[in-house]
Amino acid sequence: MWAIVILMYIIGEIDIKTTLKKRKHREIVPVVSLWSIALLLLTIYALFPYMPYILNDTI
Amino acid sequence: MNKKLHTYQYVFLLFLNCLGSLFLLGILQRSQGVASWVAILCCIPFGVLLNLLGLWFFSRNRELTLYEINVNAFGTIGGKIVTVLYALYFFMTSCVVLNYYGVFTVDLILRDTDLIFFLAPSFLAIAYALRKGLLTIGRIGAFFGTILLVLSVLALFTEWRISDIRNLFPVNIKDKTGFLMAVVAFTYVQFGELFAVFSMINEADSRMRIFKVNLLSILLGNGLIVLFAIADVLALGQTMQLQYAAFYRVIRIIDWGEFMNRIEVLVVSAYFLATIFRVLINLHVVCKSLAQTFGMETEKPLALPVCACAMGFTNMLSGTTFFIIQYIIAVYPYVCTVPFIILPLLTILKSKAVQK
Repeated sequence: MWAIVILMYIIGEIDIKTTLKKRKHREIVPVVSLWSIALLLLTIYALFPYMPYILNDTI
Repeated sequence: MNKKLHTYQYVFLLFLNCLGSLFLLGILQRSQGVASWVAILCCIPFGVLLNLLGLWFFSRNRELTLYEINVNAFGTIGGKIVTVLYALYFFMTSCVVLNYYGVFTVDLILRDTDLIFFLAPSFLAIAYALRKGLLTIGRIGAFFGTILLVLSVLALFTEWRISDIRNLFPVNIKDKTGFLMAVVAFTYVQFGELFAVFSMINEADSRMRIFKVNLLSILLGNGLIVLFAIADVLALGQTMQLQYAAFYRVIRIIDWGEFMNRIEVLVVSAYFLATIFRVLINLHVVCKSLAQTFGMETEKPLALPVCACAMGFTNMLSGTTFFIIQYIIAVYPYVCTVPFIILPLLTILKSKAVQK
C-alpha cells in the first residue's frame, strides 16, 4: 500500500517538474492541481486505510 | 498521414464500450433475478431513443468537439461550465465502473489482494494509452475488439449448450418501482454511456455515415449483452439472484469437451479489457474536455494527473459490491438524467435560438 503511494509521489514529482520546465503556463495550473488532489487522496488512504468502509457505514 | 480514426476503429471502440457493460449486468441480475431478461428487453426501446438523441446532438455539428458545441450554444463561460459538468460526470462514471470491477476481482478472484494493487497498474496502463493519443487507442481497440468478438461468440455458444428453456419462467416482479429503477439505471449504463464514444464523431473519418454505422454497432454490441443476459437466465434460473456475478458463475460451470474446463479466467480477463476500454474512452473525454476548457494545446499532459486522481477516488469510493449495486439502482438514474437528456436538449434548443 505504502509502496504504491510512494510510487505515485515519485511519478507525480517527475510529471510536475517536466511541466514546470516546459514553461507552458496554461498547463501548470490544471496539472499541478490535479496531482495535488490525487496525492492528497492517496495520503489520506495511506494514513487511514479503512476510510472507505467508515464512509460507507456512515452513509 | 491520416489523423482521423478509421470507421472500423470507431466501430470497434463502440463495440468494446458496449461490452464494457457486461460486468455491470451482474447488478441487474442480483437485484431482479429471473426478471433480468425482461428488464434488459425493456431497456432496448428507451436506450435506442437515448442514443438517437446523442447522435442527433453530435451530428448537428459534425466537425466540432463537445467543448466547441457547448461554447457555441451557451457562450464562453456557460460553455466551459457545461463542459466541466460533462467531464465530472465521465470522471465519476469511470471511477464507479473500475471500482465495481476491482471489488468484483478482489472479492472473487484475487481474494487476499488490496484494491489499490489492482487499480494502480490498471490506471498506469490507461494513462500510458491516453498519452499515446486517440489513434493508438483506435488501433489497439480494433485488435482487442476482434479477439473479444470471437470470445463472446464462443462463450455464448457454450452457454446456450447448458441452457434449459424452463428456467425463463416464472417471472416474479415483486417490487415494481425497484424494477423500473433497475431498467432506467441499466439503460443509462448500457446505452447512455455510449455518449462518450459519440463525442469522438468529430475525430472519426468524415465520410462515415453517422446514424447507420452507430446504430448497427450498438445493435451488435448491445445485442450480445442481451443474448448473454438471456443465456445466463437459461443456465441458472431461480438461483440467479444468489449470485453477485451470474455471468461469472455460468462461465465457471461450462467446459469444452474433456480437455478444457474452468475457462472463467480466460473469459474474465477478456472482459477486463472491455472494462478498461470503457474507462479509457471516458477518461479520454475528460482529458480532452478539461484541456480545451483550460485552453491547452493538447490533452496529453493531463493523462497522468487525471488517472492518478481517478485512482485516488476509485480507491476511496466503496468497499463492497452491495453498496455499488445500491448506488447504481437508487442514485445513478437521477445523476444520468442531467448529462444524457437535460444538457443535450438544452444545448440543441439554445443553439437553435442562437442560429435564429
